[in-house]
Amino acid sequence: MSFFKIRSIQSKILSLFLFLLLVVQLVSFFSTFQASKQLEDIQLTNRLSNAKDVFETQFTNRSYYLSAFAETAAKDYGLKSVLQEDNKSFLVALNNHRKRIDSDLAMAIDNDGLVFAQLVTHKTPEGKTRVSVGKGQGSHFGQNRELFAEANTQLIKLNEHFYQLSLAPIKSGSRDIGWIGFGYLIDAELALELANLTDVNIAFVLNEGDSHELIAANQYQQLSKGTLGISDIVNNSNDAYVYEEILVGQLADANINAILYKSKADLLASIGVEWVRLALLIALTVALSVIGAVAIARGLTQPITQLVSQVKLISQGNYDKSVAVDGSRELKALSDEFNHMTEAIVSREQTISFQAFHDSLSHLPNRNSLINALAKRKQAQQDFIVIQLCFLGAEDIIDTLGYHVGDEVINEVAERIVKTNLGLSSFHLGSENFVLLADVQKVEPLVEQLLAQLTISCQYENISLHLQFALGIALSSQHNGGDETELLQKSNVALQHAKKNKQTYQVYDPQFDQHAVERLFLTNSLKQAIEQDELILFYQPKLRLSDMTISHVEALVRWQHPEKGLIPPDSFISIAEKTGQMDALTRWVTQAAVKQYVAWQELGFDINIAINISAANIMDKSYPDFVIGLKEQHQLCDNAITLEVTEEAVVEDAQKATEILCYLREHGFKLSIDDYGTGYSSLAQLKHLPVHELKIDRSFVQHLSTDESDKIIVRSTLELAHNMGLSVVAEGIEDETALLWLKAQDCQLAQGYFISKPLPADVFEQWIDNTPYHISRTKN
Amino acid sequence: MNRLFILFACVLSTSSAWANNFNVQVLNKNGQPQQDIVVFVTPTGGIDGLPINKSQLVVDQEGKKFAPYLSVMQKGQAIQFSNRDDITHHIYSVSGENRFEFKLKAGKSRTTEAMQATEEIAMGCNIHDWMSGYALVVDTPYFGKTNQQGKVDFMLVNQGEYKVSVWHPQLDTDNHQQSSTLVVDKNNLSNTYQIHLTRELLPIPLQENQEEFDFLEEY
Repeated sequence: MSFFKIRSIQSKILSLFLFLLLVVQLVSFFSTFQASKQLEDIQLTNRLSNAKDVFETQFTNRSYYLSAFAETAAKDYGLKSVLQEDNKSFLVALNNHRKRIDSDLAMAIDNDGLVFAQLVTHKTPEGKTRVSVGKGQGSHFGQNRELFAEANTQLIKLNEHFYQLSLAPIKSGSRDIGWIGFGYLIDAELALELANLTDVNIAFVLNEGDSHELIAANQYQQLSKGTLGISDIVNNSNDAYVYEEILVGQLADANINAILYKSKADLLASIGVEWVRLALLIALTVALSVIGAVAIARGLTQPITQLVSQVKLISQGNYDKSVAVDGSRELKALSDEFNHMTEAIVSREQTISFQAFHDSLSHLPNRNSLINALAKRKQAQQDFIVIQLCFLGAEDIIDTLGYHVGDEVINEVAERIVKTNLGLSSFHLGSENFVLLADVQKVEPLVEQLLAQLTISCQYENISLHLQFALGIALSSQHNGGDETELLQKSNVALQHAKKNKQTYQVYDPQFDQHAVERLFLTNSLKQAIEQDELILFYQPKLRLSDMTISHVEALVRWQHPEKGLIPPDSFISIAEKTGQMDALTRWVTQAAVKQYVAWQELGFDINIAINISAANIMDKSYPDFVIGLKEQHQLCDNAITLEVTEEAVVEDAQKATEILCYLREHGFKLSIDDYGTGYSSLAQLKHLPVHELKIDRSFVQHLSTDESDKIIVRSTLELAHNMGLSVVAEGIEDETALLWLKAQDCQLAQGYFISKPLPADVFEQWIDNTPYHISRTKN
Repeated sequence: MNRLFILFACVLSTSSAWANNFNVQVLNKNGQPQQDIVVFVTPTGGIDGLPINKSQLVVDQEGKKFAPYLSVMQKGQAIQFSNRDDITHHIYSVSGENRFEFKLKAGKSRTTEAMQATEEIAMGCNIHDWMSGYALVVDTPYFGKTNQQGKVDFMLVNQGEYKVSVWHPQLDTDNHQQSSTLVVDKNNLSNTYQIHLTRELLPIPLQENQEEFDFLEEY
């Protein structure tokens, strides 16, 4: 196959041409060859059949000639009248006749078959012809005379010679009184004469059975000397001869045949010349065609090569070069198209590069341009100010007035920014975000001037919009640490800070970043922490006030980070909530708490563990089923685990929360409303919640001993809870006064630093040994 | 049968008077009477003392034919040729002893020399190739040609043994003759002697021009 993988067009065309040429030549050669072969055959047969025709005509003519003359002579009265005169007179008369047709034999026979006159010719050594009385005179004529009546001539053998003889009857009235005959010798002279006429060799042979006896031939020497045998020709052993055998007469049982033959080589000698000419012609055609093919291939590919080299320049980016070829119309069209294409590419490239460096809406330079500008400024080692600016309420505008108004507002802002004559380079980062670069100067006046020029209300569709702006500012002299985008990032941080704190502008403070980075770090590693058990549970005991016994604990999760140490829950709970990891976190906590519960049960402590669950845990049954499964797995008794759910979580989807809480309650979990009093839950909702317990928020408990109004709230809450059949937990107890007051108010459980801070399990176990309070223990 | 017949004839010759009327009938191979065939009767004892039949044989050339086609004559007589056509004939006989040839202009007659050889004379005309005619020279005065009934009568002078021969140029025998010998006496004389031809008569060559030359009709 590799043979066909010719790469250049020139060689392809060339090989195609040569292939076609070869095919054509082969076909024509083959057909010529075939035609010549046929022609040869036809010529051979034609020559032979022509020769045969000529021979037969000649031989028949002689025969007719003889018989006609014999008949004429027989009717000649002069001859007839001397028939019965003396023999010499008759012989002279007979010879007179013989001379007229120059026959080799003349004879007369009487009715009894006696040859009474016979004249034969013979050649003298000098080549003269002499006539003498034949040896047969006076003897009987051997042949049946009747045969002569049927055919013109018969062949006879006389004195070792063969004659073509014709006899005619001599009549007296109607009575036959004798026969007269004339004959020609069948000899080499005849064979030569006929051979000259027919242009083939002629041999007369006597065929008796299979034997061939040569009588006469034009090639008598060759044939009789044995260099060439008649049988060779007739058997045609090596296909060297063509021949035709013609019966010319019979002699007793033997046939006398004429064999017309010629060697094929002689016959085809003239055709041989044609082959040389044909071969020369083919060679010439091939040579000319090859030259032509090369020329055509060159002519075709040269402009293409030219095109390729020119297009190569364009592909390297030399768009100012135009393509031109001096080839065919098609190639000219192709080069024109290339030029059009180049122009189109140039214009498109311009568009693309404009789009790449400009905002498609405001046509202000975009972030790419900004980065370039920052890089340039940094390279020039100039100090400058980066102001990140955004107008507030963009989303509201779009929501209420639609995108096209939003776009118009953006354009309006962009226009105003451009029009401020404060020496600012302005960039548009997209939607409501812009960046301005300014030379070093005092920040405050700059911002004031800027806002003064920007803050003009504008009118859209009869709605007056008062645009408000927030600015984040970073200074290259102070905040430029890493690469050029760092300033941008810092100004953004400042902007976010300003927006968050509803300030007009904020200059970057490194502190902003620290919080943000830490938070980012925690976000990234929380998942890993859950999976790799970096979390641990701390337990804060709850005191049952009725008998001053530690009967409950609240499990609080801590993150024991290998590098950063103990991380408080405030730092990562909200991350877990925002990143959807709350469920995983709660499950981990639940699992760990249950495990601890079982461990304490084995140690003999009967301590209920409270677990904080989030709103996400009660949105469907997947967490409840998980915790129910755990309970069944460890065969925990009812009320072993308290699930604390914040008031907020319940408020979000009260109906669903109620349903799930009912489900949990049915499966033997104690349910508690956490942080009660901080949310907005209505009493009506509380009424329907299937909880056992309220947990009053620490904010009401912390200052209980000093704050009267807190006391009122707590007392009334206790009253309310008790009236609804709910128990109450007070958390955040920090002094004994509060504890005693709560006990006096029949509060069920108390939790706070006064009793104990949250402790790891092992520390908690030590604490139990030293605490003045009772410990709830298992019955057995 | 023959012996019985001869015995019977001998008885007849002794018992009845001699009458010289001898009748011969020639029948062809199919038993039909054969007309125009020469019959001649030769006494085996020789013809000495018998009168010579000197009737002049006349052969006419009429309508470019010999007429009659065949005729018979006694040895020593001559033939008279009479050209009754309006053109010249060149009459010849080139075979045997009785050879002659002469031109005979229209309306002329010529008599040949006396014929001395008892043999068939085959005649022709050198101008009109197709013309052929025959005359037989016999050594007896008793000869004739059969009539329509195939019969011919002879007035024999003597009783005795005779050779009875028939001749026709086309009779397919060696010398175109057929002969038999019998004794004629008064007992069998009145009977008709029947000769059955043992061979066929070949067709007589057509006596007219076989070429398609219109002009010949006028010559």
